[in-house]
Amino acid sequence: MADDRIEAYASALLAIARSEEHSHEVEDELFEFARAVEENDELRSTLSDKHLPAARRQQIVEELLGGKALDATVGLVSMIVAAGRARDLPAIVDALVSLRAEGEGKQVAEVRSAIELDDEQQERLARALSEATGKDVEVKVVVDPSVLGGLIAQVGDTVIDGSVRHRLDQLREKFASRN
Amino acid sequence: MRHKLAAAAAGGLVLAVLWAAPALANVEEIGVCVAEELEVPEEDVTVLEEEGGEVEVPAQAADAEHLGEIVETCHVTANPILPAKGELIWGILSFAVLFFLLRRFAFPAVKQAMKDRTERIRSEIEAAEKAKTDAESVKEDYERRLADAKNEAGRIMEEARQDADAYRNQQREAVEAEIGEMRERARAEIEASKNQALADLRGEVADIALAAAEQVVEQSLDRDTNVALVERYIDQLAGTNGANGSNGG
Repeated sequence: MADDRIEAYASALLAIARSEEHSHEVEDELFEFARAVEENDELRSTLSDKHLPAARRQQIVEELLGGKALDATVGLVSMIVAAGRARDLPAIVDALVSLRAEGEGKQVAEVRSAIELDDEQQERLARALSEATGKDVEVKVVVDPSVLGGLIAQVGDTVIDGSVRHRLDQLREKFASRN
Repeated sequence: MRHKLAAAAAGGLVLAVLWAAPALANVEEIGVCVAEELEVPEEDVTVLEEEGGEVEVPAQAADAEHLGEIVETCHVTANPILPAKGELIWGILSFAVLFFLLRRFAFPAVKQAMKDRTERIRSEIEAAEKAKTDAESVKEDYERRLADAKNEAGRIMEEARQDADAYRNQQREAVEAEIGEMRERARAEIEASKNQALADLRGEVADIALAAAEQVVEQSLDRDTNVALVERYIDQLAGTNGANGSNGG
């Protein structure tokens, strides 16, 4: 039931985004804001607080994104928040990206990096992931300082972790296993 | 038995008559003897004082000279045992009649009484024998029951002792088992606590070391290093076609 609802919201957002002139930028902005909501508990709780009037929640969204994102992006996020689905925003945006990529015969790879990747790096990474997975991969980069260094790529259920954080976690597990 | 009783009764009577008759009949016999010696009728005899009693003598001959001799002669010739014939006959008749009456009426009653007494004594003896037998039987039964009771008491005591021993052994084994379990549990808990403490200590040491390592890594990971790491990741990924799962990078 929840998945159906998320798919329905994703389809609706995708339809609206496609009607916009800069649909790709709108998708990227939605993706980045969804990651921000996913990683920031306070922001997620505030936007999901049903004790706050919907207008107040929409005002917060406009304060956060106003001037930094396209109006279409602000409007879509505001619509989701007003509908009381801010907590589902990351899943809705992920479903939107997947729907759009599937429509183009591609698969989305969520790549986490401690630094921004330039276009050339993203293209090479997309090719490498496509060769590694045998699928036409589209890269979505999420800047995550907790990665420390290196990259973490997730394509569907497959995770290719080459981060410094992963190295440190392996070292921690090795210490724990020796205990 | 009956004949002996009759003979004894008859003998007693004869002796009584023989002893009583001379005292009563001797005077008269002497008187008659004197009358016959003097040839006088019996009605004319008189009584004279004589040594040892009175002597009847004929009245007209009382003063005769040889009366003394005649009396002495008669006195000597008189039978001191046998009574006069009349007395004897009457005595025999009386005895016969008495014996007949006794035999006819008294003897059956006595016989019946003796028989009853004999039967009673026999029955009493038999009852006494029976009582004695019963008493012995009761005694034997009592002794047997007493022996059984002693045996039963001994058996119960033995069983109680065995039960007590078994219970004591069971309790001792249970306590020993419980002590063993407690000791084993305590040893395991001590071992687990020791291992946990060591693990915690190692974990803390590892956390400290890793935190220090992270700090060092964060400080040393500048943008150029990060770019180099990204490039290496992409190159390694491109060189490992078809790799799935975690990649060391």
